[in-house]
Amino acid sequence: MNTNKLTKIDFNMKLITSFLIMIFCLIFFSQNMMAITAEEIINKRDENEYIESARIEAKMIITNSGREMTKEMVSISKGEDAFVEFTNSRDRGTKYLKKGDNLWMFFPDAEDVVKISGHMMNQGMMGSDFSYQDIMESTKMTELYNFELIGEGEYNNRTCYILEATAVEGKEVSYYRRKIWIDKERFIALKEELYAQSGRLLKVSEVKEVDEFEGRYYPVISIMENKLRENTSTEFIVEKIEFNPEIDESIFTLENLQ
Amino acid sequence: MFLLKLAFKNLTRHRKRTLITASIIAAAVVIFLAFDSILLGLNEASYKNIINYSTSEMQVVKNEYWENKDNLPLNNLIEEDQEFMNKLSSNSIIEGYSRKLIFQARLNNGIDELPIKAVGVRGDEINRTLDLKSKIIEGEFFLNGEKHAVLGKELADLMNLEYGDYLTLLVRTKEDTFNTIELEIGGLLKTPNPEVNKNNLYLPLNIAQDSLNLNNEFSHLLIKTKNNIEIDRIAAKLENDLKNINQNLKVVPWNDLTAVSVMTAKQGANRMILGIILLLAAIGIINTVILAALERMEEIGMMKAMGMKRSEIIISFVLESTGLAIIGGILGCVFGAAVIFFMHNYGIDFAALYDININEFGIPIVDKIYGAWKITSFFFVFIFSVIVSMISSIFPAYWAANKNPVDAIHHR
Amino acid sequence: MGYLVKLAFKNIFRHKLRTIVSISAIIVAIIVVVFARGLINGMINSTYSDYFHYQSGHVRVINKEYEQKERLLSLNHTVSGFSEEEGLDTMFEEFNNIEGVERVIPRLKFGAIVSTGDELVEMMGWGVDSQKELDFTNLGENIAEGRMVEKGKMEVVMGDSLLQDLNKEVGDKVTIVYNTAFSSLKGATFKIVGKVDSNLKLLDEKLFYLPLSVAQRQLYLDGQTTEILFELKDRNMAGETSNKINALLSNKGVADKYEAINWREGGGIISFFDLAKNIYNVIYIFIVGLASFVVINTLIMIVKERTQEIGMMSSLGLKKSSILKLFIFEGTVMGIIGSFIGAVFGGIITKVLSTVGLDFTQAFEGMGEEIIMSTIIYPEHSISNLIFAFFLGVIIVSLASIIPARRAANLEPTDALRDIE
Repeated sequence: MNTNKLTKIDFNMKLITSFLIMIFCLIFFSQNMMAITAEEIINKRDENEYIESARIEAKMIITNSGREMTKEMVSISKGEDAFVEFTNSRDRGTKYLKKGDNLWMFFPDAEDVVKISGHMMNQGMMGSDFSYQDIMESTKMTELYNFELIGEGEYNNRTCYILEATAVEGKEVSYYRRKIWIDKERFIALKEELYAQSGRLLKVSEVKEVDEFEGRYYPVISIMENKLRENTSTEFIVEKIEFNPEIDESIFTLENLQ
Repeated sequence: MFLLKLAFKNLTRHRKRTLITASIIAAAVVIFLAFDSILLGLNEASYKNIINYSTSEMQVVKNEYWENKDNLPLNNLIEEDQEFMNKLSSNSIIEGYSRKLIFQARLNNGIDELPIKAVGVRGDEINRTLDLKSKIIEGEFFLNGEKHAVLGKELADLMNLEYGDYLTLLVRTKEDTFNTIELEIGGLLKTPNPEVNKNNLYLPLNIAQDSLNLNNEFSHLLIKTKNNIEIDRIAAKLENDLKNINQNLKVVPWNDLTAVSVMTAKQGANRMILGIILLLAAIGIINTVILAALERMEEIGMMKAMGMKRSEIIISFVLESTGLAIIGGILGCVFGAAVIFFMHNYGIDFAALYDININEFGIPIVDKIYGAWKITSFFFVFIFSVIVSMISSIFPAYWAANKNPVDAIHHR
Repeated sequence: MGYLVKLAFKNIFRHKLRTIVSISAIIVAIIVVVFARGLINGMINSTYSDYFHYQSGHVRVINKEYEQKERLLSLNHTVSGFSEEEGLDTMFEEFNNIEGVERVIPRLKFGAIVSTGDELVEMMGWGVDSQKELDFTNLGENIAEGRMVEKGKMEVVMGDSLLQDLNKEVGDKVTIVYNTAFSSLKGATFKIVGKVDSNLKLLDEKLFYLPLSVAQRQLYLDGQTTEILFELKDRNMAGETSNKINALLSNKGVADKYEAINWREGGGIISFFDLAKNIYNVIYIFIVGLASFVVINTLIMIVKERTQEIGMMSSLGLKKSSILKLFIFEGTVMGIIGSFIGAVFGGIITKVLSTVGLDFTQAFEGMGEEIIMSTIIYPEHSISNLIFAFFLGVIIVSLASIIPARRAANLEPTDALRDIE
């Protein structure tokens, strides 16, 4: 008789314990499932923004101490190679070819191709705030920076993950530290602050418009502002983009440049 | 010797003539020395421009650095270690040394950016080698670690910056990462070196090293040394001394750089002018000797008649001329020394005499030109006049000695 | 009077040796004076002229903001005419009409690079009006091979050192890349039609010429230029003329945009040359003084030698004043002969050297390229120099003969006769 009662209590205890354990596990695991890592955020962002290959028609509006200039271009890129041709009237016919670490330029009035190297690579392309080096960087961000999720915030009425990226020691990167606001829902970097090693804010990049293409999101209007110089910024507008199109390898040759 | 006495007697006998001829020689010597001194003074001043404000007498760098020096690279730098520093302090050639880290930077005032040369130095060391502190016209030179910059007023004006303003230097670290250095303008410079005034910005060495991710490294070691006439030899010796510090170092004397010097450029033409002056002196001497010989024809005839050999007559004339040259030379050197002394210590104030706007361009004269001493010039001009006299007197002496005694005595 | 002159002549030719010696001294002194002056003037003038031609002109008109940005070869502050309606061409016309202006020379300066495969060679381009450049400067003489660029053509002329750096020759093509006024990088291929060998570092090592219209088009600077130089009829009127130009600019309402600077105000090496010129003039006077010293000495000795003769003339009744005049005449005649021959020979020497030049290239090795100074100096040869030297010689010799002449005249006949030196 007594044993019977005991067993009943035992059983109840067991039931309660396992129930508690279950709930605990549920909560614990679901926390994990909810807790996304910085690494994952960036990878998801790359899925959207990192281009394996694409054909882009774009427009660049460059403002330099108040003077404004507009450039229009078509760019075809695949992996480490890229081919850009300018289509606005002033620069029509000017072409760039990037193959790996090398950059060549072709101008309509020139009879041969010009190779660009050395300190010229650090100059702003076409006078913009993007240097040739910046454009050339095709290495994935995750290889160059260490990412840390430092919180959440809002940008333009959208909730974002805020990540901080610090340069991996010894890697050659232009900006030592980057603070990135990534749209929680669409995994697009909506705002990026670029810092010098001293902590001084050098540039701020903000995305004004995002579009969806075949299930993937891509920023179509973004502005890079130079924080060291007044009235100096570059607006980059994607007018048309085609992901992973048919690309003939012969595009990335010097012959195609001429 | 009898001939010597004769020559001496002749000189003292015709005192006026002796004096006049000696004066010609003296005048030529003085002009030569003065001109030479001014040229040298100007030369030195423009060399000083480089030595005192830019490179000091010598610089120590790593061999590989020098090959690439124009790009102001951040590799192949000298690492500072205690043993190295001790060796420097004990070396007899080195009068003083200071560390310098030079790198490319863009000077940003919020609106414009200008590419300049940034020079990291130590405020407590720089005086040992460069004379920058005395050229500060506003503010003062920084102390180590003070976040202050010192730049030429010309450069500051170009960027619309004033003493006390803040500026930003945009640089790239050793890993090519962008970095900024914020500095307050602690001092403005005005040196006689236009390169320095227009292109250089000085900041504390440790701040530069930190901002570029360099650990106690620097690009140049400036060396001040005593003697700068044989600088190449001294540089080679120092390089040898430093060979046992295994840092593969090279010692570069200041004249190894493509030094901009207006006065060097005109040396060729100036030598020609000096040559002209000497030529005139030579003419004076030759002229005098010939006329003297003509004048003393009878004397010569008499000497011959009295049995003096031809060679003895010639020698006596030559000795006389030499004596003249010596007297003139000494007189000239003495007066020349007096003139140079005045020019060296007080300078010639050309700016006051002529309305000149001395501003740009390697013009080392701020307000005065100072003469320079060059003992070798004195020796040179003295020996030159003596030799010219000797040689120029031989021909007329020979010719006079050859004359028939009878004709000579009757010569009119 | 006439007979004194005759006597003077006779005396001179009587003592041939003595006369020859004296005249020789004068000749050499005059040759030296002619040469020295030619050399000094040649040096100074060539530096001045190089400076005018390649840097400041006699007057220079630029955009006020350009002055500071010049070292960056900025294309943002140009000269584009008085207004929308009155563009660059109108500006040239009006400038030409200003009194004293001989020529108006536009230049468009910009930075450029050429990629040789291994390295990027930096250089400076000058968009110019070929005819005006040839008229204004001595560029024509310095084109060692080929010719100057022709209007509107994609041609360039480069310095010999620059060509060497690029490994190119006249007739080759070269692709040059530059930053346009819209900050876009642009490149074009040009044909090298001429080679410059000027002994000016700037021209030989850094610079290339191309037609102005081509430069304007390539850089998107149509109707604009970075500076306008003026050649004046008289360069000493530069101050006044620049005032006139500034007044015109004011009238047109662009005085806050552009300014005219005359060569004296430009700063730079030229003010140093004013100084140098003065130093040299002083030296030159010393040289002349030295020469005259020699001459005086000679004459004094001559007088001494002829003491007895003088005594004789005196005792024969020749008046003191006549003796004075006699000796002065002798001196003057020797002066005339000596100065004439000296001037002629000096003239020949400077004429030869003025064509050949004195090569100081060795001495100029370490000079920077911003200094505009030729490495070969051409002494100046001019008739006025010779005439100057001639009269200088005659006058000084004549004056110099006064001293010994007076001595001669003041000798007591008895002393003179007795005096056997």
